[in-house]
Amino acid sequence: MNDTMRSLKIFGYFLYRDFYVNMFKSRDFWINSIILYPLVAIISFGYLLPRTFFTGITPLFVTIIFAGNSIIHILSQSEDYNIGLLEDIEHDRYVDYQITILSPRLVIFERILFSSLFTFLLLLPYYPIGKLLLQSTIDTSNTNWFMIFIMLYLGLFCFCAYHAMAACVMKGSYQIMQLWARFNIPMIMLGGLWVPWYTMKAFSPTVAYILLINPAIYITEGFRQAFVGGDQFLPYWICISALAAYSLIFTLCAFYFFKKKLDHI
Amino acid sequence: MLTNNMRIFGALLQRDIKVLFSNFGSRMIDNVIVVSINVFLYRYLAPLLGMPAHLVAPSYIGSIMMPMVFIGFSLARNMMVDLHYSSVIEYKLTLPLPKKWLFASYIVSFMIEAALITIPLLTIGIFLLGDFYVPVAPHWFATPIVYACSLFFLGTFFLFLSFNYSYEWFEQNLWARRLSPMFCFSATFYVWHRIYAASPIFGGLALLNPFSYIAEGIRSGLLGNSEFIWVWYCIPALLFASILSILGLTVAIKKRIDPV
Repeated sequence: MNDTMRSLKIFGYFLYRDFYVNMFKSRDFWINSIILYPLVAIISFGYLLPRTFFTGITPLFVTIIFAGNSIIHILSQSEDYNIGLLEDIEHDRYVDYQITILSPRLVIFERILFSSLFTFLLLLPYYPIGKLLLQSTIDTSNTNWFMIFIMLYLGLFCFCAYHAMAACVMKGSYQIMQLWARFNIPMIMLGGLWVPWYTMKAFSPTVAYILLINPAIYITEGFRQAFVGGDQFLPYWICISALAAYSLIFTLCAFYFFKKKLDHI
Repeated sequence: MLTNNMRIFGALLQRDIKVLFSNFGSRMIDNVIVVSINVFLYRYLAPLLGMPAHLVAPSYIGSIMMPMVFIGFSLARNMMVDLHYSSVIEYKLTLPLPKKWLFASYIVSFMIEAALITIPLLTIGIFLLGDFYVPVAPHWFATPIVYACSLFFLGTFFLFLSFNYSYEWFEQNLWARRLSPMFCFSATFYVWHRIYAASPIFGGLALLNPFSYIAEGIRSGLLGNSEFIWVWYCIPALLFASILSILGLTVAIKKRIDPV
């Protein structure tokens, strides 16, 4: 009992430390994260992309495209905060100190939990700012804002676990470009970035069912369900269950590969 | 003297090409995966959502700028890390080679690398696009020129970025404050006349952005439609942007290597 309490206390301290270090980052960091990135992304993906790529657009269509683009932010932010683990293992090895006072599994879990919470805070203003800037360009008459934030957190947790696993699998930071080219970009492009799953199904049911292996599809479908609603997108319960299952698998794999990385035997 | 300079210049290029070929296969696999996914998206899925058929090929051609910029970013980041930590450049500066030749070797080496990777990707992509690639009046003579001008501009521009900013600024702000806005507000992903039709303000902004002339120049060269910015306008625009980058680079190198 004492050991459990002690571990939880240290876990809490590590979480507090990570928040403390990151909350006091430079002014540039906050300007970039809260103002510049959302501004550029909202104008580009919410305004220019639908008007320049497609014809006969409606506010509903723009909303579907805008919701799908969430996957880019989720993947890039979760990568930013988890790939540091790889650099830590390669160079600084702060992780060596952490595992002397806390179970390696809890060290990994703390990183996943912190990065998902912190990136959630960073992305939280994105959707309200998006609505403010795009006004009636997007149709939010049926939007369930609570579910948007639920989907955002679940998506971030899933991809933070995925990137923690990737950091434990990769041999060095020279493989980051490979991670993006071979896994992340295909996952984004075929994960409903622009094209909802029902359109993929209309194109080819076989391809659409194969693409259900991709966890990104559950995020984009969940966002579309939250923004637009209706029965054309996958229901919440499927998206949430799939994301929870993938989160569990990625976390367990991260534990396994982290152990292998530190102890080859 | 000139022979000696050329010999050292050649040796530097040879070294870079050797490094490039040591992992060329793996990098080509990475890029072929990205190209295949892009073609699948543009050719099969985007038209189902309402993308007009005539925009498929230009949108795909614009997307080829992504690998170009990533290679340029690698050049800038490697140079930045070198300036900050290992300083291989300090050894190179001691070589009996004029400084202009040394920095030219970085630019030429980038141009060779980017051309060796992106030209096959462009060719494979166009082949895979099949019926969606409909050239009207391609400018076969101007295309290699605009391609070379584009790579030359990117080489000078990324080298300028690596010398002009501190390591911390580069790591924290380069994408947020320079590359993302340049990418998103240019005619890279979107065809320029469509941006202008959607918003004359963003259309005007895109004209101030050299990335637009790269994408539009290659589109105009390979497709030849009158709806793109004419390739012969893009070439001088890129040369002008390259001259500005070279001027900036000259000042930045002096400031960085000899701050006194």
